[in-house]
Amino acid sequence: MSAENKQLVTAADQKIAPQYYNPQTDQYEHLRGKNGASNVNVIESALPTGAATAAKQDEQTAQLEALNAQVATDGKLDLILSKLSDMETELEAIKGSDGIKRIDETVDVQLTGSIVEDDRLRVAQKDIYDLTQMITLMQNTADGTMISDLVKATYGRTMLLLSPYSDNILWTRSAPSAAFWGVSSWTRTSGTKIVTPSTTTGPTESGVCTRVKIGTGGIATTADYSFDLDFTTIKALSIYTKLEEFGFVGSQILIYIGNTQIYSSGSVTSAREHDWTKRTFDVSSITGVQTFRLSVGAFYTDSEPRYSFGNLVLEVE
Amino acid sequence: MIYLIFINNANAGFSLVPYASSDPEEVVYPIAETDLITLAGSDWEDKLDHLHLVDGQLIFN
Repeated sequence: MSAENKQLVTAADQKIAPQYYNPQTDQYEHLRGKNGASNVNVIESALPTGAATAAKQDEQTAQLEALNAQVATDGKLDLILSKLSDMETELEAIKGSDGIKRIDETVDVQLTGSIVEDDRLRVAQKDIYDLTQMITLMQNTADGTMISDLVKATYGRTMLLLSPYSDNILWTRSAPSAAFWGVSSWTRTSGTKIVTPSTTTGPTESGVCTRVKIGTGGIATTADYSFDLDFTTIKALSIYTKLEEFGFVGSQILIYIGNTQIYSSGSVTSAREHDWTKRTFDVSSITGVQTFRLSVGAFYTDSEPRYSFGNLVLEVE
Repeated sequence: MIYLIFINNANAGFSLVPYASSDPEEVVYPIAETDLITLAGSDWEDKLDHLHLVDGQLIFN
């Protein structure tokens, strides 16, 4: 028997009813349903796309459990926490270190300019002078006006003394060199002789030097002249000295940078008159801001020595 | 190092840093401070007049 030979079931008015062929009973039967849809045999139907079988779900559940077991064990978590703790300790050490910039301190960054469309950072040049400003600058340095302002600051003095510009700016011109030596003054540090400072002709044309005369009479006298300079990156210092005795030999010249005595003319009886002599010192072992000090002494009653110092120059490494 | 300065064999001062002069008569003689103390004593600064440079040899007398 087959479905082709069976009668279709009918509904009212002998109309063909919704039906299906049941091979078990070998006849057509009315199609039954519920909630607006006909019954469907799920077990024997194909699984819809994207749906998971129970076996597949069991497989994925097993994989998740295995993954959890690998990651979330106490040992793994402890290891991760330990590493985080180590990192925290290192960051605290860096933060508190003086060797590098402290993280909790302000880092000064001064940058001018703008980010333009081609994604390159363009930094504007600073301190650009036009011709008028340059002429004004030259005039002010020529008459010493600007020098007087510059020498008030340690860095201004240091900058002015840098070779090879110092000769052109200071030591071959009267007003600028006089303005430079005016940064300090000679002070008697011991004794009773009269100390008389002045500026007079220096070692090179038109430039002037600082000179101090210690008068006759009184007891042994010393006098100092000093100012600060920044010796960072300075390799050499040179200065001209001149000693005129005008009487019995008994003088001394000492030059200091900080506590380092870079020059001594020897015992009070060994110093001798000399014309301008250039003395050059390797000061590369000295760094930072230090006091540069000239110290002179007159130790006998009947001498009236005059000590002159000129053309102080610094050379960078 | 101590850089002793001599003119005509007589001491004319010293420097505690490397030193040079435009005076052609000046001769600079570098010496380790320990050697200078051995030669002239720890108060060598007060005895500079006793230091002489004779034929390139430092003499204390």
